[in-house]
Order: sequence, then C-alpha cells, then structure tokens
Amino acid sequence: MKKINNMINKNLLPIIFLSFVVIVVSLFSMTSLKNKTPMLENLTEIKDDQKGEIITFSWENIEKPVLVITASEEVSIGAIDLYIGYKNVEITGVTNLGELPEPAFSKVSQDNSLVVLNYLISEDDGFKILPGQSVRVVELDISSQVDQGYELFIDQETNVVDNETVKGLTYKSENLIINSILE
Amino acid sequence: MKKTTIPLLILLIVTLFGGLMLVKQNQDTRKGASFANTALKLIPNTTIERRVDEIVPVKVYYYTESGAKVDGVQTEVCWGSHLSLDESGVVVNTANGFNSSPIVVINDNCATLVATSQQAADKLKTTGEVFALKFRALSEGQGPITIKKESSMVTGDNSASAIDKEIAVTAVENTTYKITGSSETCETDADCPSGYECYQPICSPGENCLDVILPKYCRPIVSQNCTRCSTVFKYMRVSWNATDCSKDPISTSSSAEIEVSRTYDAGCITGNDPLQCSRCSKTNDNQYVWWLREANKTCDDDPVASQTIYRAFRDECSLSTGEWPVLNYKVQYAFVKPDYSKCFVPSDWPLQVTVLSGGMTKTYKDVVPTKINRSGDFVTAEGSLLLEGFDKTTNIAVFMKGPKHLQMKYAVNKQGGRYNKAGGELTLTKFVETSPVYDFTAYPILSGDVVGKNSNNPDGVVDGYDWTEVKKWAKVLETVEDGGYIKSDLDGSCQVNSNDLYQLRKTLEEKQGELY
Repeated sequence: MKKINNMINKNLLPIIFLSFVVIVVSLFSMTSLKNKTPMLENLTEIKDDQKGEIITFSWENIEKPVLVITASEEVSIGAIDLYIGYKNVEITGVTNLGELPEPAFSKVSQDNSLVVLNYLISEDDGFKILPGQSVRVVELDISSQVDQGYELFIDQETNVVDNETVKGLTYKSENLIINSILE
Repeated sequence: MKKTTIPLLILLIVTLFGGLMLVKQNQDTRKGASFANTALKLIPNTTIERRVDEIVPVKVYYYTESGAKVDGVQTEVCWGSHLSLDESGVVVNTANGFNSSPIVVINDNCATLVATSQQAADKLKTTGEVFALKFRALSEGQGPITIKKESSMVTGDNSASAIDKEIAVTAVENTTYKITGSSETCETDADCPSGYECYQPICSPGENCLDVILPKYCRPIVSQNCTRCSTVFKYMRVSWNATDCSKDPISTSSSAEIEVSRTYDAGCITGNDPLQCSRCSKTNDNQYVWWLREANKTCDDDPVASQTIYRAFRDECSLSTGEWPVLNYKVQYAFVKPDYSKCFVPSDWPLQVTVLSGGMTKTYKDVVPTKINRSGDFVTAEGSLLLEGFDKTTNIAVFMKGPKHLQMKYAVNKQGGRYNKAGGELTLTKFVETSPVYDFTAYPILSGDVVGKNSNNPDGVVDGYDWTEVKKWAKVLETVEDGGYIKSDLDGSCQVNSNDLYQLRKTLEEKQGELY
C-alpha cells in the first residue's frame, strides 16, 4: 500500500503538470485556428482629434471588430443613432453585445455600405456612462472573402443625444483600418 | 494513505453535496419569482382641491422596469369619508391593451380594481394609465387616497416563461384631496363665489332628515352651452361652455382654457373690428376664413402663416372655379384613434402639400382638412385643395406632411406603402365635383418629427433627438385640456405618454426600413 502511495505521489504531480501544459497548448492552438485570418497590421487613426469631445468611439479587434464607447465625463444618453460605414468588406452580421439595450432598428445596408443601429433608451434617466467606463456596443461579422485591407468608421450621421438637454453630445471616433490579411 | 487524505476526501464530498444543495435551492426560489418590478402611482400626486359635489379625478398609472409589458393589474384603492365612488366612476384604459370591463368591488371606502388583457405583447405597454377614477366630493374635509401595496398585483408578458408572469409591485405613490364649500352657507347666489350658486339640499325619500331643513350651501353651477355673435368679425358665431354665459370667453384671463368653436352665420353682423377680413378659403373647399389684417395690408392680401386664421364650414364656399386643378384627398394621421384624440384639432394640425408634375412643383401651406371621420379604427381626414398657380392635371405626385410629421409621397390612389418611382400617376380635373377623390389612408402620415438636431424645429427625420424630446414630456405625463395642443402628443390624446413613445418607435422602424 505504501508502495502504491509513493508511486502515486511520485507520478501524479508530473502527470497533472503535463495535463495542464497539454490543455494550455490545446487552447492556444484552437484560438490560433479560429483566427485563421489574423490581422497583419491593425492600424487605427483618430478621425476627429479636436479637443473637448465627450464621447469616444473606438474599436477592439481581437477575433472580430467590436465597437466601444467611452466618455470623458459622466453622461446620461437618451438615444444613439449609430451609423457605421465600411469599405472593401462585406459585413455579414451585427451582434448587439447587450450592454446597451436592444436597438429599435438594426440593419446592415449593403446598398449604402452602412450598419445602422438606432438605440432608444427607455429609462427615464437615460443610459449613464461614467468617466473611464467602456461600453462594448456591437460586434461585427466580417466576410471571410476579404482579399485586401478594409476600413470601418463612424459615419457623420451618427448622433449621441444627451438625455437631459436633448442636445447632441460631441464625439470623436477612431477608424479601424486593416491593411492586409495573414493567410 | 497519508494522514491528510481522509480529511481531504471528506471535504471534497461535503463540498460536492453543498454545491448540489445550492443548485437545487436556487432553482426552487426562481420558480414563481417576479421577473420585473413596477410602481403603481396615483396621478395627480399633488393635493387635488375641489368643492362639494364636484368630481375628483384620479388616475392609476403603472411604471414598469426592464421593458416588461403589463397585461394585468389588480389593486386596492382607499379614500376618506369625504368622497364617494361607484362602479360607473371606474374606467379602464383600453388604449393600453386592457379589456374594457374591469372587475370593481367596492367595500366601504376601498375599491378592489382588476384589469386584464388578452392582447398580444405588441399591444401592451410598460408604462401607462390603467384606471381613471371619478370620485364625487361629498363633504368638506381633506385626506389621502391610497394604494394598498400588499393588495396589489401586476402581471406581464414574460418572453422567457409562460408561467412566471408576476411583476413585483415595489413602490406605490399616493395622493391627497381637499374638499371645500359645504360649510359656506348662503341665502342667495350673491353670497357665493363666482361659478357657484346657493343650493338648498333636498331630503331624499327614505332619508332620515327628522324634518330638519338642511342649510343652503354654495355648489358649482353646472356649465351650459353659451353662444353669441362675434364682436370682432362679421358672420361669425362663437359658442362655448361656461357656468356664466355673460362673461366673454375671449377677453377673460382664462380664455386659454375655454374652447371656443366658430361657425358661419350670415345673420351675425355685430363684428366691428376695423382690421377684420373674411372670405371663402382659396385653398380649402367649403371653408370660410376670418383674420385680422396687418395695418399696412388690405383684405386682398392673403394672411401670412404666422397670423391666426379662424375657419368654419360654409357650403357655399366652393373651389370650383374651373381655372385651376383641384386635389380631393383623404388621409390618415398615423395612430390618431377616434376615442382618444380629443386634442386632434385639424386647424392645429395643418398640412403642407407639395404637388409635382413634369418638373413643376408648388407648395401649399396651412391646408386644413374639412371633413373628419371618426367611425373607423383610426381617424381619417378629407379635404379639397385648389392648386392655384399649378396648371398640370396629369402624372402628378403629392407630398404631404403635418406639423410633427414626416413628408409622405403619394402617387397612386389607395397607395399602401412607399412609392419607389420618380414622379406620380395622379390625374386631376379643375372642378371639385369631377376631380377624383384620392384615398391615401392606407399609407398614414407618420408622426414623430418634433425637434431637429440641436434645434427646436422639426428637421424632416425621426431620430434620437425626437425620441429623447418626447420621452422628456412623457416622463412627466404632460397633459392639456381637451382641444389643446402639445407638440410631443403624437396621437392627439391630450397627454404625452408611453403611447407616443411607442408610436415614435414604430415610425422610426418603418422609415429606417424604407431608407436602409
């Protein structure tokens, strides 16, 4: 019995360690496989870098492009008319990430090369964003048939409406520019 | 085995059982739990001041969170001995999807009220009125009108479960009343304030009055129909409701609250304002118009849009001159329902009509439909417009918009949706009688354009600015008297509420769907 215990103690730890290494390596491999088309170069540029904008639209681009809103001061949003323009790519789907309520209208307009989302906030006090808080808005599905680089940007029709004053909140936005694709 | 192995095994087994128990407990508490919260409120929430015998109106509203739509409300409302309520004084709001026959059980000074709905979820609301109560003031005094939270229950449409429909009533808001008047004894009407009369109470048969003559007291005079010829305009008869017809409804300080209707009366020749002008309308068929000209103008000059123009039906005012084409139209202002549109007054909701044909366009402002039909599911409006200065009669397209509406294009009769081609297919004649009546009611004039981008004026689109503006007024349930006007009241119900927000959302969905 003691022998068996010693054997277990001797062998169990290396086996557990080995299993852990195998799991980590497998997960890493799966992630790499999913990103079969990783971005070789992922450049963003500030479209409008004037001082004093309260809202910033930016992009996270890990597996799919995700639009993120941040605010430089506490704001209460009554509505967002969001128009995302795109070039050299086909948007096959748009997923609301649930941090904002479901949009009243959501459509990928291939004719206009726009993703249109109208967020109408029902709560009396609007949707609050605190300084530094990031709100992940939507995730875009990009067609795998992308040969060249592509670009995503916030169209100037976009409105972010302050819940109290019913005036537009100033915003700046980053363009997501993908230059080429890794095969 | 090591010394620590057995305690470790026991710990693992205990943890496993603990986890299983927690999972089960979580499932048990979830079953039957409420899926959203709501508040029941009595509106107005300020003290309601009335005199004896007057009606004390109170409404019960629900304000539900998380977008949960309400399909059932049960509540108990209680009040003081100065008020009375009977079943006829309870009206359920069918516009919010509830059945028109509520259950009403009145015991002493409390009433249990139940409203239910069999409507689909899209007809239900998250916030709105459920009951309108009309108490009668019996005697002088003051007290609260309260909602019993523990006796209240709300249910709603839960997309996640057909069983868990309960919405928790997390808050109630009560109101108070103050009744005056009964102690003001009097001998004659002169002892009473304006609008009141000295009343001798009569002992009803069966009532134990012990042969005592009850003291007289002041009570409100029931309003009556008043009418007279205008002192400003010739041929104008004015009518209004008031307790005292000797008081001029137009010159009194409260004139803004008195609804005055005007009709054409050839026998009325008392109007003597030197600036008065009147004639048959040049644009609207069967319509007579009055206005006060500016000092540097004559009555041959047309009134400008900013001037107040009074209108009345007159059969003799026909547009059939034979010189210009006539557009006979029938339209529907979106969502305006017959039973809930006391504030849909056509002259306050004038149309702007633009006609187009063969490269020629002409716009007519302040076009007021003359016939209103309230017999269907939605109110429809008809009129005839003389297209003065527009000499085309074929291939015509018509663009119409209201004061808080989007511009709609009409190009064929009985058009049911967007017309996706250039130009139009309408044909007109130059006589009211022979020009076809074009029915555009299947494609209603969409509303919701109340403000613009950083502007208080409509900008031709319905977007987040309009939503936030309407929501601002819906939050406080902005209300006007019957016949009044609020820009954000999209359905003419005299109140800005969740119906208007729903309507604006539908407009945005439809218009964005067309554009994108």
